[in-house]
Amino acid sequence: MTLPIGPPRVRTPRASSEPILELRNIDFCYPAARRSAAEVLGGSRLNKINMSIRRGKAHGLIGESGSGKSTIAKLLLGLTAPQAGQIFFDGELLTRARLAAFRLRVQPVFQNPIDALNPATPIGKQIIAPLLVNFKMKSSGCQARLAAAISAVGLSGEILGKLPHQISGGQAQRVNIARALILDPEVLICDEPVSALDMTVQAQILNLLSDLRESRGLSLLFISHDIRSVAYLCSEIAVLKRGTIVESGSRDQVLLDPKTDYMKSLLRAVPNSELGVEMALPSKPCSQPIGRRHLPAER
Amino acid sequence: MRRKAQKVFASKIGRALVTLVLMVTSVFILMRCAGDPVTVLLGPDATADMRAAYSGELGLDRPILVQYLAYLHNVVRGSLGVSYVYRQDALGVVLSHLPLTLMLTCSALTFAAVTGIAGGIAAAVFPSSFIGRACTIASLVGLCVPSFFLAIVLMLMFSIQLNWLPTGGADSWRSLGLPAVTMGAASSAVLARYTRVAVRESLDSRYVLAAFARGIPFSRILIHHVLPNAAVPILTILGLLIGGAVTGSTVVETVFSWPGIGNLFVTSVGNRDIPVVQAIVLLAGTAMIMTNLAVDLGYTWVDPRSNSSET
Repeated sequence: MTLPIGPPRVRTPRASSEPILELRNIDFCYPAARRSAAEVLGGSRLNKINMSIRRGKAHGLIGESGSGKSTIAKLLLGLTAPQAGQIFFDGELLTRARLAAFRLRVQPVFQNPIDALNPATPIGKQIIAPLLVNFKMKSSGCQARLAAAISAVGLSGEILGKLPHQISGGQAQRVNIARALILDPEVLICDEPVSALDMTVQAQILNLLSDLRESRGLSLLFISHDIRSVAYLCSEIAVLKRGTIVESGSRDQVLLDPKTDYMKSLLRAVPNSELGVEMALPSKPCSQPIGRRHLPAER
Repeated sequence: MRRKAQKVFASKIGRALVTLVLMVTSVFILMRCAGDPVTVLLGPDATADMRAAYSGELGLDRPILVQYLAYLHNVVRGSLGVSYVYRQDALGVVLSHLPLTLMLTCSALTFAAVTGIAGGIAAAVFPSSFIGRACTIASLVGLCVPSFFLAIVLMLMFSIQLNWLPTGGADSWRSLGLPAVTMGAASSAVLARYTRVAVRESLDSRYVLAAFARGIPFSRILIHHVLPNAAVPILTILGLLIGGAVTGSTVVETVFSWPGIGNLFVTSVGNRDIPVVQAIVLLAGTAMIMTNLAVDLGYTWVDPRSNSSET
């Protein structure tokens, strides 16, 4: 297995309508030992989930806590297996035998960025670990890719020798993104990547993800309970309620013309909703970097 | 960075010295609280003249502060008095029993560390498997069964029934088996339970999930991510077990007639050989403090966070 060294390749989407990652009729239920915690949150199973992530597109998945969003992320990352249904990647059924190669092309960005980093290992070593392990590269041979990855997320080389507790939450999330990018993946599964960050840093990370999607042709699944973040970043949105997708479609369809009472109630819960949903939407979705001015004002 | 490490090292050494002084002082106070040594030694029927003469000989007629300073001076010089029974330097008597106790505790702790840590890791990594459940149940049994009972059961099995190992003494290496296993069993159970919790906690963390998602093999995740982060609580417990091993061997040494410090301690208490008892208490306390110091310094090696508070 070889990995191109140097600047990341820019993908020209073969066909943006073609799904790169697809869930078909997925049923999932946590084992009894772990079910009780999920039941407290209102949902312990996924029912007949069908969704797809298209090449070069940003897809949003929204829903309240306990609706099964993170479970879908785990399924898409191959961290847990469904009881029924199939996962397709690049048109092929995802099997245990294909999992290792799949994990090089689909990378996660988790909530609570500090927790996602090994507290006892310097940042630089953590970023290059996937290269050392999966490609049997030597540490010295990874330096070019390491420099490219941290530069892509706007970090300086000084951070590489630090431990996770010595950096801020925003820097930690950039490190997580750099760690995902170093394998030059095709899909990023972002599970609540900005919910643990303050507003300013949220906007920076959203801009970064938007830029990376455009410059690298990345496909994104952006999971969040924050409708404003999803509205800014994603062109397609699915709404999850107690393990079932109750609504999906283009961003404008879902946010401006919601079909279900559940989605309407989620929209009503958005701060500043009295200003109208349109205020939460950037005028030109997913096309240009934004600053805080594009997000609804904090109350 | 090196300067900071030196500062941390010096601070830990300083704390250990303060603890040593406090321990030595506590031994002095407790020995005085335990009763008048003259009455203990001469008995209640001793005459006033005999008591006064003996007090003068032991220096007990001097003011308490002077006695304390003289005691400190002797401790620093390594002189803890003469054993009433052996008529030799008390510390020398204790040190002559030390090698056998060290042999027993080292064997027991090696057994405990190997079985406890391995069992704890197995129970955490395979919680639902037969081996995981067996390790969990074994550690629970190990915690519940008192060492004197386990000693008798082992003796009945391996000495009386099977006739494989001797019931007591320290005549050969074969004599070491039963006391070491008996002493190590409880420590192994404690270590297994702490290891299981620490490893499970580390396995459930987000950074391990992230490592799985990046395609890193489980063996590497266990060695590079899980064990280094679970090492701190395991090291703490191991330190306490090592520190307590010198006195913890008392019951086992007595049951198996192992001629070590624990056996000497029981005999000396019975003989009211205060200098020897005092020497053993000081030695055990010093062992505990030194082990804790080593563990504190070990933290900086296994967990770089403890060496840097910069945020």
